[in-house]
Amino acid sequence: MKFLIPILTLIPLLSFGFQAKFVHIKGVVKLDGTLIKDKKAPISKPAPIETGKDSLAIVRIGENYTLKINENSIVDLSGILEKTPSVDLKNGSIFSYIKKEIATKQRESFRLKAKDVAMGVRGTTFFASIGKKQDVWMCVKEGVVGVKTKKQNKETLVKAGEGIVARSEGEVSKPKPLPWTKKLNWDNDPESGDLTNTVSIEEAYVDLLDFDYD
Amino acid sequence: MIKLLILLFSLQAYAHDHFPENLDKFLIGGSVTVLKDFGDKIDGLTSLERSSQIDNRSRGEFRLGGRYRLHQNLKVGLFYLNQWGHREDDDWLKVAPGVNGWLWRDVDSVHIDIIEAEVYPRFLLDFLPGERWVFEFRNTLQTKLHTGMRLWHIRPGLTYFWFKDGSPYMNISLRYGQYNRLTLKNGITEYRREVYLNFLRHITRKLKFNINFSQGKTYWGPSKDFKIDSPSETYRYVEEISQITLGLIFKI
Repeated sequence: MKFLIPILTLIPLLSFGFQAKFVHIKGVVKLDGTLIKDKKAPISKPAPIETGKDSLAIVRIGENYTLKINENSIVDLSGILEKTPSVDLKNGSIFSYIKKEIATKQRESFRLKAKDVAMGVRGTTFFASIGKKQDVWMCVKEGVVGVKTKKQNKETLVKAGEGIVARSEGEVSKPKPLPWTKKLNWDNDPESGDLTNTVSIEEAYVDLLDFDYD
Repeated sequence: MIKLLILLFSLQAYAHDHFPENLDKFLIGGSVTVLKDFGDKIDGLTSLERSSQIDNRSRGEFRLGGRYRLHQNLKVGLFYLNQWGHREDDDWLKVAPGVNGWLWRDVDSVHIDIIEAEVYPRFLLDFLPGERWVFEFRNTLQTKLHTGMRLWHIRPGLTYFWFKDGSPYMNISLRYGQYNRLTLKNGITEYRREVYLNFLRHITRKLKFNINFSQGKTYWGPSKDFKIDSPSETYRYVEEISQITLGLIFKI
């Protein structure tokens, strides 16, 4: 039975080739440098997707993976056909949704890489963003995500409701609820309304306890 | 009969003449503050504040010092202050021995040196709606060097921050200040109480503009001259000041 889970993960991708498509597009979205105009355009190969200012793309990969790529982001799908499907966040921010049937707490069902940070997903929904100092911010809505950096071998487990920052120097903060994550727009259904995420990761850098004017 | 009436009137005038009249004024002030960070944990601050005339005197204050962040939620600070135009207990003077008449000392050019030490915890109240509420409880010990008078100032305050594009662009703060004398003098321990409402606009990262509304009461007890002249009497002089201060804050 244990062997079935990874096989189940890969079958939708391998047996039918690489199957992915856009389910929603807003603004400027490019696939491998080519501007995409059709909101439901198919994605023929795993390649970089880039979004411009005030832009957004929702991508469905096979039956089990959905990515919401926010504005000013670059996401490379080249690793999606690996044994554990992986996506490389080059810039900006992304919401990742993995179907519950595939998600398992014992084994990674998905991997997200961002700079020198590797996130092994054992859950279903999480958000990751690259900040202005090349730090990587991440928070989990459902499931568990294990975070490792090149400099820190020890894995940090981040549970639902918690978030971390992996600094560019390699240090990972202790998981805890982060106030700014409560306002994230987790919605990924194009029929449900505005999908735009308006929370700015820059707010995470502001230390409200350090302001003195008198 | 008329001479008796005149004598009685003079005595009555004299009887009230030696008590200072309470003051209730509205002032407008201006301030300039310069802030500088020295690393992650040390902040420097210099400020100059001046208010409009009251009783033909103008008040002002110069401040210089810094703060150190001991912990994410705790700062300590040390400041030197120089104030002018501020009255003290002993500034209520008899014109001259044997002469009827009382007046306030001219303190326009009287500079008072003060040392302040402070410690204050500060907390983010992210459970409140908006999640950008900050509460602080400032505790300051102030020593007036020329008299040795010590004041303990507590100032709880609540601030809310509005953000735009990931940075704060406006704050509003509500604070209450209570000054108490630590040495019992003239039987009065309360020295001053104030309420402040402050709006601050972040124009750029290095420039802020603020408007401060304050309403406060300061209490003085009998002066030395009064105690000598009327040992069996006492008074409590109250100076009630409402003030709007417009300020510029520069971060260098």
